[in-house]
Amino acid sequence: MGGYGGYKGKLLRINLSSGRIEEEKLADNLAENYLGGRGISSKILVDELSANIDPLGPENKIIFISGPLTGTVIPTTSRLCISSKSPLTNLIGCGFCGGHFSPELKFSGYDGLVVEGKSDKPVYIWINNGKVEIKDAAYLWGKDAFETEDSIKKELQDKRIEVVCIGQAGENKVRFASVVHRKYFLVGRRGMGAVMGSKNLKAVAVRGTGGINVASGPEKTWQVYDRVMEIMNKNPVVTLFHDHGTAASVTLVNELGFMPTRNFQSGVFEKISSLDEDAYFSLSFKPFSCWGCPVYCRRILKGKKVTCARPEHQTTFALGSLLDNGDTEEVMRANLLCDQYGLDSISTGGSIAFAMECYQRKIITKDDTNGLDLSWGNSGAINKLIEMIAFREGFGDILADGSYLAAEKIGRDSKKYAMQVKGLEIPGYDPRGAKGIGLNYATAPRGSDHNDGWTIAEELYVEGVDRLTIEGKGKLTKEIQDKSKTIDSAIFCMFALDFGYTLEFISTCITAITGMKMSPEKILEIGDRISNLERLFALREGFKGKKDDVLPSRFIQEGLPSGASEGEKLDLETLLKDYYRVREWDEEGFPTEKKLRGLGLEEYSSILKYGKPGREIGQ
Amino acid sequence: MAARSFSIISVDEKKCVGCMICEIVCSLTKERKINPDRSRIKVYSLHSHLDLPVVCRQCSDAPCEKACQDEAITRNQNNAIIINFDNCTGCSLCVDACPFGAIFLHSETEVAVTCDLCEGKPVCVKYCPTGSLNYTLWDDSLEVKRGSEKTLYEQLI
Repeated sequence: MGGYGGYKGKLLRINLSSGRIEEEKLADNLAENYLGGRGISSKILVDELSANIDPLGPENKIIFISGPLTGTVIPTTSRLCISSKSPLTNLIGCGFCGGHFSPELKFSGYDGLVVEGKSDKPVYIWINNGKVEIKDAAYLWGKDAFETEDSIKKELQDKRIEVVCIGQAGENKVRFASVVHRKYFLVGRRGMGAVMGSKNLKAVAVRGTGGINVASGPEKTWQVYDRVMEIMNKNPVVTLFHDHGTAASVTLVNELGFMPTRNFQSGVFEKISSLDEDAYFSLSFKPFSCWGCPVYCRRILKGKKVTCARPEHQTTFALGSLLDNGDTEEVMRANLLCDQYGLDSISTGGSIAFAMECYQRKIITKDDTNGLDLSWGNSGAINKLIEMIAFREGFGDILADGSYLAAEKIGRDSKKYAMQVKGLEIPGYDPRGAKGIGLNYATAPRGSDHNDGWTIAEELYVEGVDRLTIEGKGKLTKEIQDKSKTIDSAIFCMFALDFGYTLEFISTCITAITGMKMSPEKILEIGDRISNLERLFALREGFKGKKDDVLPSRFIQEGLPSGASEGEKLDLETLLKDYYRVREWDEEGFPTEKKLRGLGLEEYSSILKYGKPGREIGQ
Repeated sequence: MAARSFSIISVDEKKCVGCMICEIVCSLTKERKINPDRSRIKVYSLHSHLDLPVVCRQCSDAPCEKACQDEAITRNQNNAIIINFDNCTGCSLCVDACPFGAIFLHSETEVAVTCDLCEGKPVCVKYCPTGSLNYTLWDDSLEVKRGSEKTLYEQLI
């Protein structure tokens, strides 16, 4: 690694099969073309994994990586990226969490670590200022994520250690098991916890006391910092987030009639008042924060029965409206259970909602559900089912593979009620009520992930953008998807854009910290490169371009039944056409060779023959 | 008490959210780079998401001052504890003596370091986003007023 600031310039590689621990240099061209975090980890996965490997087998790799801005003075950059081939989607499975782990990893001397192979017994990795040990985790196996973190800090006798770990769900390889940090920060989606579990890796603990060198001197650094503070202090979204976090959007999305309710059968949740920002705020006990962030959008809620982190918008939808669960404390309890067991709340809710709709339509009965009454809103059954999923007990074992595979097992025409794209359960905005997000769900390289291209801010708040039209949504979605990739690589919080960071200012920050010449155009170019690279990963796995850029038929055929988006459907065909054109892909949704050359990805052009119509892909 | 009419960094731990910005800006000021380990103010996690900032209280009858055998601890015009690096031998007696854990050995230079109140304009106070840190007269500080109030920890557990 040459002179770029912000980076530690080193990756750690640990093979759990052989116990080999190596350090390797982070190459300059990786930093230049992929920045860090998501970009570099996706590049490693494309280069090092063979096609069609078992994501839960020893040949999969899991990467924990920071970005060049992590651990520096720039706020909202403390995010950790964990990436691997996802056992839920078979795609790149990267996910992110805030908190304090990622800066600590850098202070310990590494930009990231790549874990390979599989241990034959439970272990955890302990990185102490460049000293790496693989330690016994037999005594931690079976513990939930909260106990695990506390136990490791106790064993190592240092409260400043930062830990990421899995709960029982990860151990049991639930395909949407999450990785948990500081109890309430989760790398939620796509089963990164299951990959850790499959490797018998219970946790990673880090402690570091090293500093980070940046390209600018202290005076320039202070200048940039003061500028950030000025921008953030006068931004109204910062105040809103500080008070309500992502739950701030619950009321609005419901008013606009696209708050997914009863497995997307409706876009209006009648009992929203017990799950809105005010309902949560009345139980607020104390805010807590990610490292170095003046927004501190998270809160601990203390109810009569439950103390937990404030449910985010996505959890409010997935464990609330989607299941017709309208009791504040019951949603909090379900949220707490997901955090403890280490489950992604969206996929947990999505899978349970799928089961509940099957129950509603009598596709399954109590005979299938171990006697559980899966009527809408039955919170007792929901909590029991969450536990059964985490431990893979009875009917929970079927849902633990996600709604797509569960529908395959259940059969009986249940597939159309599995609200997923490429295996990933759909997040908390009904795409019929915001067309851009629908296009993003269909095309995002990780499956239907709102953070791959969060068009919602533009579609709801920017003048001149109509959430219900499809014109211009190809360009909008593509640009936001590309921006998001770079933001995920720097790594900024996805909300930085809403906190007043413009692309110009993000470029200024990256240049000040790394010394790399950055511009808004370059940000979009790096993002475009990562989007295309991740698309290539999908094609290599056998996804067939446009044929797999689909949404559940409900969104195409059924109009929303009531509310401000009544009657809305989604014309995906037209949206896709527009999108592929803007992306400079062919009509089948394949990047062209010319496009790949333009992004410096020509070495991967042989992948383009995968999945082409007429070619059968062996599994 | 005239002897105590000086200012300190007063900590209201109920407002602290654990963002570590005080550690970040302190290390950037004192070390000219980000390294929380060398920050003069430290935030300790009392319990998950309950955080306690710890910083020198500039005690009148300072145990660190008494413990020092090398005349390395003096006061400046703001009454802030100042370490004379030339005299300090890194013996750690002050570190052991401080009841608050607010003085420690620098990991590189191996001499004692603690908060010097930034010439009366503490950077941590300036950038603290929560109002948890305040630069106030000792007589007005929470440290003086603190009585039998229940701590956050007791409220949560």
